[in-house]
Amino acid sequence: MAEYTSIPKEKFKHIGANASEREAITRPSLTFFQDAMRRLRKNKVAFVCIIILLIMVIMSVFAPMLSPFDYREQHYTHTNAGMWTVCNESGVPGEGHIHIFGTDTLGRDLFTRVWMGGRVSLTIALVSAIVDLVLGAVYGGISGYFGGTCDIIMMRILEIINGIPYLILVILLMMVLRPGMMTIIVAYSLVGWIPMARLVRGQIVALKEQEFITAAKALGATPARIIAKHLIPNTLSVMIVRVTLAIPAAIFSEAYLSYVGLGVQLPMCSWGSLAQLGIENFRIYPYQLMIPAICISLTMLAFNLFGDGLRDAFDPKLRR
Amino acid sequence: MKKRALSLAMAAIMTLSLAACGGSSTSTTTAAAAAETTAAGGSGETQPAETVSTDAGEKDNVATTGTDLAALARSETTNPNAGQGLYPGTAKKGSITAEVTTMTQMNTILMTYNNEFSIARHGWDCLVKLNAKNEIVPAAAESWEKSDDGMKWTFHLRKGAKWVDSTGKEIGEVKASDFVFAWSELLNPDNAAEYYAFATIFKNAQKYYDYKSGASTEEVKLEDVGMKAVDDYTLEIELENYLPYLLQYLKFEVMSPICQSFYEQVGADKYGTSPENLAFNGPFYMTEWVTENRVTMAKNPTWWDADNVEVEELNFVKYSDTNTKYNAFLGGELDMMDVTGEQRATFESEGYKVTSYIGGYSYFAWVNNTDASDFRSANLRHAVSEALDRQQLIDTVFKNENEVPKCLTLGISGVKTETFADAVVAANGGEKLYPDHADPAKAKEYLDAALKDLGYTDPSQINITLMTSEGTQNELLSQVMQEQIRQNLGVEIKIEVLTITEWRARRNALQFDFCMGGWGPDYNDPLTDLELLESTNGNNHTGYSNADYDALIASTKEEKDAEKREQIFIDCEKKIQEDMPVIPVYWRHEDYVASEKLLGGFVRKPFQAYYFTYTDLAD
Amino acid sequence: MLKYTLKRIGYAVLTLFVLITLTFFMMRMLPGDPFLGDKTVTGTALENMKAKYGLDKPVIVQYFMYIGNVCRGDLGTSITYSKPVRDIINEAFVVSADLGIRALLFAVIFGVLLGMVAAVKRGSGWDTFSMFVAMIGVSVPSFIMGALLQYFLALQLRKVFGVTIFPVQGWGTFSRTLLPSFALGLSSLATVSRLMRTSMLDVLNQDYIKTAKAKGLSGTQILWRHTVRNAIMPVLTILGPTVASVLTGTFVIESIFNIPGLGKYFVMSIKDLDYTMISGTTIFYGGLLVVCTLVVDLLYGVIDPRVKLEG
Repeated sequence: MAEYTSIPKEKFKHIGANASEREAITRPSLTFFQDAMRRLRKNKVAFVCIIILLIMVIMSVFAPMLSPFDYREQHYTHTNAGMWTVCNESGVPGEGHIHIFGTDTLGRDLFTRVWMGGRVSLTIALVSAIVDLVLGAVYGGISGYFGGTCDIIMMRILEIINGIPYLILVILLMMVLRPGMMTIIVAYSLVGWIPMARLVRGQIVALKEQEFITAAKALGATPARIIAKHLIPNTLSVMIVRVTLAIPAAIFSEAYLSYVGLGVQLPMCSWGSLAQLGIENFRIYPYQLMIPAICISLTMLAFNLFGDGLRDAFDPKLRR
Repeated sequence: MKKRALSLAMAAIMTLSLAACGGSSTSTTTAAAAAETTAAGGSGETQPAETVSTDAGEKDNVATTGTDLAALARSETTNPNAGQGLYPGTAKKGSITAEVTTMTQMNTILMTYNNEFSIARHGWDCLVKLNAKNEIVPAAAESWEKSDDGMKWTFHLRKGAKWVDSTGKEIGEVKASDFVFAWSELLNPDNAAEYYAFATIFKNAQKYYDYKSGASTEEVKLEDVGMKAVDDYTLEIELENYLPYLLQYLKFEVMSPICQSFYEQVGADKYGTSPENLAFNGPFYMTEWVTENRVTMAKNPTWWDADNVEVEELNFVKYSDTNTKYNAFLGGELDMMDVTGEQRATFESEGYKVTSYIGGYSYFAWVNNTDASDFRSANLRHAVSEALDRQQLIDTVFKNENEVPKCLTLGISGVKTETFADAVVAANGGEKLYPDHADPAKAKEYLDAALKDLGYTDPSQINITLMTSEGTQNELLSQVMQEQIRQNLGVEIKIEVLTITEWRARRNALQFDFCMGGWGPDYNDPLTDLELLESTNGNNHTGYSNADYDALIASTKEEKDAEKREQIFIDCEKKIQEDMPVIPVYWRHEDYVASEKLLGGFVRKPFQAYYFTYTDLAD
Repeated sequence: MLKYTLKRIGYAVLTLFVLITLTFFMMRMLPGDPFLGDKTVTGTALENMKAKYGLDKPVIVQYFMYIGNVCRGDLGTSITYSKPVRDIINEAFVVSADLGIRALLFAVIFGVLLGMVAAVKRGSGWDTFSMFVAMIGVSVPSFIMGALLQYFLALQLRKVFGVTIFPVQGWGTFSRTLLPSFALGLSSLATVSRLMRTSMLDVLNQDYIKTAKAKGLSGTQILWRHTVRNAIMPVLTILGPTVASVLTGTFVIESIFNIPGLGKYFVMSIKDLDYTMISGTTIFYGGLLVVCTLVVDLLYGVIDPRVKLEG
């Protein structure tokens, strides 16, 4: 104590308040999004996943265009050809080219078909996931925030939609719309957002009792602002995990519809329908199942791990 | 999902179509002499070339006693794979597990599916049944005789036959009244039996049914129907129309007896809902029925020929996934299964032989001939037919012995030739009516004509959709047809995959362009297939209405001379080829494998999809 | 609490009623009728068949008759099977519930454990390993997983050992339940463990955990009393509907392993247009769903002290 009191007063100088300096920000200004991206880039696993997904997308877009084989063209002389078989059928554009993944039971080039299937499966997955996210978050957010009768009614509507047999919806949809990719997306979106809405609501019900919400309310924030600025960001991490699970769910849903016989319009294919056809020949021609199966699994794995990375990046609570 | 039944109008048609073989001599048909060819005739290879005119031919090579039946079955079928050591089959001794595709009803009068009839064949004995050669032999009846005019039949039942319940306990004797009761329940509108028409062969039966249904006001009592139990062991039948093929009717599984006292005890709405609510008089009784999954049957020791039955237990399992079924066979959980083309190839590459038989199914495309579709142009139908490479299609999708159709009709005996199809080919200068391979040049000629018909300028204006029901094989077939039409004709067609119910609804309502269909014979006469295209036929899903064709069909009902009549049918076939209201695609062969546990003696034939009673089992 | 519960039960009944009504009229819009066979039935026979199931009356009359019967607990007779719908559901639900409980137990126990390990050991090899195991379930569609399990665990093991260890298909013995429970549990396992991990991480960052640490509570006490109890919330949300769908069976797993459960009726009754069966299974499934959600919501109040159940 004594040493401190003995410092002479002259050593201190009053420099006054510099208004501009006090307000200056020394670190570069980062929006929430920029900050998240910065942290995402540091995540090696997420980076690898992005690369895998990009490869999948690029191959799906370009491979069928560049392939000498058409996805539907059948070569009766070499059905069920193994991987890396040379096409020896004369008079077709693909003569002399290699069936990289072999051919299927009708002699169609699997390489081309796998990437055609990728187009279908990836489109279904992405569109469904977006619908899932938006619908689920808005519905769950409103229901959870307002609570009471509004909540109860909204949740009961969910139960009703969830309770209607899925196949009835799909078959009715297929009568109204033409069977095909769009119908599958609509069919999945009809019920796919429900788990998301439930989850968001659950989170919001828990969050809205917390002090910072009470504070925001006391400061006169509108419900829309509270939902958008406080509740949603705090729920985001759980939502992102759910989206990464919803993407496989959408692809699986398509595969399920292929399994019950209501898939994409023939001769178009999807990863689900290719795998379905491959299973029948698995014992003899294992590659016919393994290639689409690996595509599905790799995509799912990438989405999941990438989702984890995103979660860590977005979570306001993990901000440093 | 194949149904097999007599069409509802059949009784009347039979009478007419068989007028040619009327005038049967007075004969007391004993069991020993009761040999008739099966109605379907089935595969040409196994059936003697007998025609409709066989008058309960006196044959001396027919098995009469139980021992003979068993010996015949064992000499008729042997498993070519026995003893190879590749697929030994299920582990449980004395038990057979087989695959079925449908098992919805266990009440015999309500059954409609082929596989259900197979189950019924093991649980119940009709008056007569088929032996391993598909010839009629006695079952619940021991002998029978008919009146001079063939309108009245008397059956003498086997004495001492017992009813057993699901525990194998005896609950009574099989009486003549049990048959009368079963048939009266078949005619009872409250039961709404789809195949009630089987029982309308009896005198006044149709009138009774109509009166009871409220469709007619003319009162008919049950006693007036031509079926009577004279005493416990004597049954008298009076026919509505002359019907030399009565025994073929009586062997049908919906004509099985029902234990009247038991039925009344459990009640009409409970009977048949579980094994506990059923009584059996056949070689096996049902012990367990897991809905949509499995039926288990045990050997009935009280059955009259039980001494010759080696099988102790039968399991009929329904698999909802074809790959699972395949794995179950490989894993020794299944003894008999039908195989797909790819599976056939694998089995054969392992040296395991696949057996096939002709079930009589002819497959063709139903084509919408009405103005609603571009197929209203006959030239377009011909163009598509010429663009199809049928042999290539069989080799790619089925990879088996399926045949390119010689004509529409399959599995029917000819008058002078072994099969009716042979007669058609002979009349066509030795050529099949439908070619093995595509002829793109010819197809394009037809296409040009079709464009003119339709007023189109470019093939891309043609808008046709192939409607298909779900299922891997259906979908593969559709895609091959689509691709062949694209490559050989340059026309893009679409494929629409629907659930089976929606598919049928749209087919019946003629809301389609074309779709694949199959047809199996109901009886051994070309009419069974050819009447399909008559304009008034309820199963004509083409909208094809041609006065000439109708006249041809009508004239077959008048014509008494068998050869002339056959010539009319040949003309019908040619007319079909000319107008192409349907496009015949292939004749189906059924492929199956049996595990090495089954040494032989099982029956797989038309009308007997399965009969395991006399199977010879490996130890 | 009691008022809230009663009110919720009231809503549940209303929900079911709306569900039945919607399903009833929607299924009537499906094309075709239940009596469509390969061969066409017409005339008196068809009329008798319709009359047997009351389908000859106007749809609206049928609707009120059906509602009346349901109130009396009668779900009608299946058109396809000629058996009471209730008997079929009873028979099949026992099997589905058995399979479902095995799968759920497997999924919840291993899922929560994996999620906990991953969260507590965040960033370590344990984390990666746990999440990788969890992800197998969401990365391979169940129909592929089923086929692979059958091929490798059933057929190949049988080849190696000469005896059947895991049967390919079927139901009834303990060994037959293993592969399907595993396959069915695997997809839920992934959901459970990943949610558990995320929400554990959230909770571990909360101030009350710091407070608990500051109070000097032991690690185990913090883990179980504060962390797990709070973290299990989102898991419960997702479990409500999962329980209902897992208990009623999933069509794919049941078809692949040929299990006589309820799952296939949801698909087959619609394909066959077995009206009574469609309504029956919908009511049953809807009822189960409503009950599960109700239970989960009530459980919120018990587990999470922050949630107030307002009447």
